[in-house]
Amino acid sequence: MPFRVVLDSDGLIKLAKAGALERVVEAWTCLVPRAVYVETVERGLEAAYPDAEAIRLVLPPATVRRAARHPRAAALLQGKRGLGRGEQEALHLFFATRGDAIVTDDAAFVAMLAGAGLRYLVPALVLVRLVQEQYLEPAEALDCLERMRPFIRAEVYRAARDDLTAG
Amino acid sequence: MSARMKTMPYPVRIPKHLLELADLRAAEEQVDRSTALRQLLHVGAVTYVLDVLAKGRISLSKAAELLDATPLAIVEKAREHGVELGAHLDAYRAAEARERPAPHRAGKRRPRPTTRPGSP
Repeated sequence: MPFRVVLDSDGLIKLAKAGALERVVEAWTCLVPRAVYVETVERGLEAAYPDAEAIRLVLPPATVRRAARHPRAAALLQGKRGLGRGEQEALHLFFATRGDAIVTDDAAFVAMLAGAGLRYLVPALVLVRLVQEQYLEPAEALDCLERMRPFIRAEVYRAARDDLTAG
Repeated sequence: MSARMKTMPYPVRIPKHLLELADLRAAEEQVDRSTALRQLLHVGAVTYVLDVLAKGRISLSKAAELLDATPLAIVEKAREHGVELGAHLDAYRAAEARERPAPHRAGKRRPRPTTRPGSP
């Protein structure tokens, strides 16, 4: 079974900015909730963001999934007012499709996922994994990390760079 | 602010100096006083949303909803304002530790060769 990941807007945007989204789509089974696609791609296209078009071109239509409801997600989301519709649908989709991990760099979402013991991958770590799985060469991953750098925390950038240069 | 933004009336007492500021902006931007006030409110809202987003109190999608914007706009605004967003190092390390014991090897296609074309 290919590795199955659900991406939220944060994960999509940072991987796209890094120029690594295409590799992720090639390597793993990627799922994107409809709400995430609407807020990032459709609204992004309305506002003429080039990244929105780049994401649209990379994502095969089958990756975009309609809202799915799952009771475990509903239970976890109860009382969580800080998450938007995109993250909420990502969590529902994760349970509904039995995803392996959620790709996000959103601090609020990550805290919630970690608290619930759910598996997540931040985009910088996605690059490290792609190198480990030989979908990316270390030099390519470092280039991607440099492009991602303005959009992630400096401490995370340094950690990922160390991981990528450590071999 | 998008063209589909909905508005509703809300009574509020505004300090005199802020009204003066709104009038100044209204003259500068050639808009009416109400528009100038809404613009000033929006500037404050952006700053506040970026602050709570950076602290992890709200998510990117929520921030976009609150500002009636796309997440792409929020990410760009954060960069323009010099606000660092994203998961912290402890979250990175925790995820890294979780991946380490049994890295997933199965993929949809054969892994790329580790050597570049033309290399010995």
